[in-house]
Amino acid sequence: MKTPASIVLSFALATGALAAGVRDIATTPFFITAPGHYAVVQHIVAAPMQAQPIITVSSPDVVLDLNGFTLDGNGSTHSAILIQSGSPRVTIRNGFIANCSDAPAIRALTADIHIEDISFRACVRPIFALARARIEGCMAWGGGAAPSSGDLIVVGNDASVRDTVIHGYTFGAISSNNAAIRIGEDATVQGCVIHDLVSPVAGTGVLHGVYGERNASLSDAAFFHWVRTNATGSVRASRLAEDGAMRRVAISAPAITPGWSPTEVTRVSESTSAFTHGYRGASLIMDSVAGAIAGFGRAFSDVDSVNGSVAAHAYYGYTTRENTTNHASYVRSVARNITLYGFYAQGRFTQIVECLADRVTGDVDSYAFNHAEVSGLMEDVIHCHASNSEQGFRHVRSGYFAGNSASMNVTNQFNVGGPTGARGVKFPPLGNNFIQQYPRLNFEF
Amino acid sequence: MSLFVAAGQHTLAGGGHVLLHQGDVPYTITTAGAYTLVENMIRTNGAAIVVEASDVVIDLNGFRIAGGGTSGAIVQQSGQHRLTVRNGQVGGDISAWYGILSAGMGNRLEDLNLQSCSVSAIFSGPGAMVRRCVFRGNAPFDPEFAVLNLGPGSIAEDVRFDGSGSTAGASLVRTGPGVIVRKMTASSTIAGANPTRLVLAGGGSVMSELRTGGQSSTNTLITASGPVVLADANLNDRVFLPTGGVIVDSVLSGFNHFGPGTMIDASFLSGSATNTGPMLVHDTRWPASVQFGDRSLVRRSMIRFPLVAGSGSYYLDNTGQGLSFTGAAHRIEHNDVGTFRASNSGAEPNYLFIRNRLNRDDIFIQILDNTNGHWGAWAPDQTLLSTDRTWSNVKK
Repeated sequence: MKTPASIVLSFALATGALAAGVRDIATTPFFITAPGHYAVVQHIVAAPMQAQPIITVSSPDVVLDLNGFTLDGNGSTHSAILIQSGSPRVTIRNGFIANCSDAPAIRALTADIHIEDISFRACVRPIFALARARIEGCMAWGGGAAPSSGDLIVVGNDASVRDTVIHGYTFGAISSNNAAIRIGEDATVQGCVIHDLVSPVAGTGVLHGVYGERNASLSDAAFFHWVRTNATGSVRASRLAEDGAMRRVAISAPAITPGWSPTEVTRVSESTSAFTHGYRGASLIMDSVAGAIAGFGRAFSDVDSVNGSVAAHAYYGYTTRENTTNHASYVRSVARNITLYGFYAQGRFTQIVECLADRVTGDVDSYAFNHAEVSGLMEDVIHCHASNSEQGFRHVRSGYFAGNSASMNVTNQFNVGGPTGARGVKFPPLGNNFIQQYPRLNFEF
Repeated sequence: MSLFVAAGQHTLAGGGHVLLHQGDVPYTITTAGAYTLVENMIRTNGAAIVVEASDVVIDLNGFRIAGGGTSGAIVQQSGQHRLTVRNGQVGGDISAWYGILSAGMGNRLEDLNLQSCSVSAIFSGPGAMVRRCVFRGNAPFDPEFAVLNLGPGSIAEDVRFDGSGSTAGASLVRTGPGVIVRKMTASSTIAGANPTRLVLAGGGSVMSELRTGGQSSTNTLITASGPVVLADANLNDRVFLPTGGVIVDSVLSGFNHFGPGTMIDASFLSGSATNTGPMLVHDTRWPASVQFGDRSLVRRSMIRFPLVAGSGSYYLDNTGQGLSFTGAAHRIEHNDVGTFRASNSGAEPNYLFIRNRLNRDDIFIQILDNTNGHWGAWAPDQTLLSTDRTWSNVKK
């Protein structure tokens, strides 16, 4: 290689007036106290034991351009960038932040912050921001950071996280609900990838990909390969509170190894009471896939409504919250290569319509479709045509059970009845009066 | 001075960048930081820039960078990560294997125009972000190669391919699992004996807003493993999803093949298809010859010539010009179809054939009433059902 003939210049010098109005940042600690446009002009490394953030913003209407450079926290317990309360409309963009060991790398104590095109390395908590924050085009790589509690990216109500990648974090013991991305009410996560999260230390908490409060939405996202390698706790791709919505999301290869606890991959509308928290069927999963869920993994767990989705290679396909979820709905969805239940609805007034289950291959307690409560609707469910399926339909109590078919190597196609009797019953093979005795068009082949 | 002004016009925000010139070629970056071209950087044999540090930003500043031979314009050395390259042209009139070869993690490549690469215009490791890039005239010469090759957990958004591909069976986009591909367009993709694949995606990927125009119908979108999501796509190409997934709100014009565990909803598919295993089709218009595999559910769709093959399918509430079925244990219910054909009528048991309407009177099926296990019966003279009419099949 030749000796570089490059010239290192400040554009402020090189371009004169073109750079006018942009104030350089080359030292730390640096305090921004007036609105304006600021640019970092060299790598800045926090001093050992530095008692302040590298940059502190205490003014509204600031654009802070990292300009391709790195703010290195040097293991500091302080944030790289702190935005004080009462400093809205701050934009931070275009650079790297590294080695922040405890406090959020960017900590915004005010609403209306915009963070874009920032890459984080070895930052235990890359971003903490409040309401109406907008996070876009960011990348966070664990790089040895080991969060033991808390979340990676946190934004408040009405905020959005878009086009962001989080990967390669190894967590410590998790004792509560932790998440790669935590969002507030009415907030949005779109176009994000979360992969390679590992939780090797025993803990009682849950490691989530996305944890959202009510009315949150998650779309066009991919979750891939996150693992819990201890026997306690569980991992989930997402948990959205009531009235959340999830659309066009792919979940693959989460695993719990070894593990006896259920791995609940997707959790929408979590509540301990169906009556106090609504469960009005407003929470929705659409057009999503969940596959390769290892161990005791549940593809779609505790869901209100699933429409047009596929669950494959999991212990459970679709489950409602046991005994509490009413008005759950499974429509136009597929469960395939499932161990225990393809579709498992246990609340009242539920429906399973136009779904398909194949290869539910557990023991005699496994069912392709299991509807176990009163007043349910199981109408027009596709036949449980599963090769080597132990059971087809289980419909315990009263309800409307019609238009179902079971075929293809299902050992026990229908188990319908209960104290009050289901009003729709199966239709046996030939020789009976169809109209009078078997009006509900359930068939076994 | 004009060079400085040109550079400054794109970098108003600050200074401190290392300015790179043609005279620096070949240039090795060994320190993290920001580097900006102030003129084109061309090397005819070998890499123009080698990156031996992490956390590097290279701003092409509107200029062109090109390497040559078996190298690339920009090569990131092993063990380095988070390379950003933006805002300019890569490659061009010099043939090279790579445009940007960056196998590290967390790279960011955006606002680029990449040309004339014969292995990959961009080859990046896991967790990459590729946005607003145009790929033109890149021709990977091996089936394992791809114009845009991304590791697991990456994002590709706003990417356009024009005149790329080869006859070697390579891919425009090849990804590891768990990848998002959004807003991708491809035109004039090269086809041939071994056609170019549009996307070879890993399992658990989400692909949306994919568009192709002026394609050969022999090009293919294919997924390698695990279910995927394909949404809002408009593809004039073959689509193969051998391991299933969700297809929704899409228009697909080529021949298709869908494997077990595929769900298609609210879509228009004009090409013929041979599918295997159970799939669910709903609210879909498919004016072609389509074969469904075992245990499929097809409902409320218009399918012109479906063949319900294998066994154990449920064909409900559909319309079409004809319907054929083979195998056993089918439930054919409430369809309005021109002709029904049961090729093994009289031999295979367990058809349930109820509430259907045959809307042509010149051809009829050979399903008899309650014989050989055919539960649903219909006779051309409509007399055999007159005793109870329980099966309610009617003829025009």
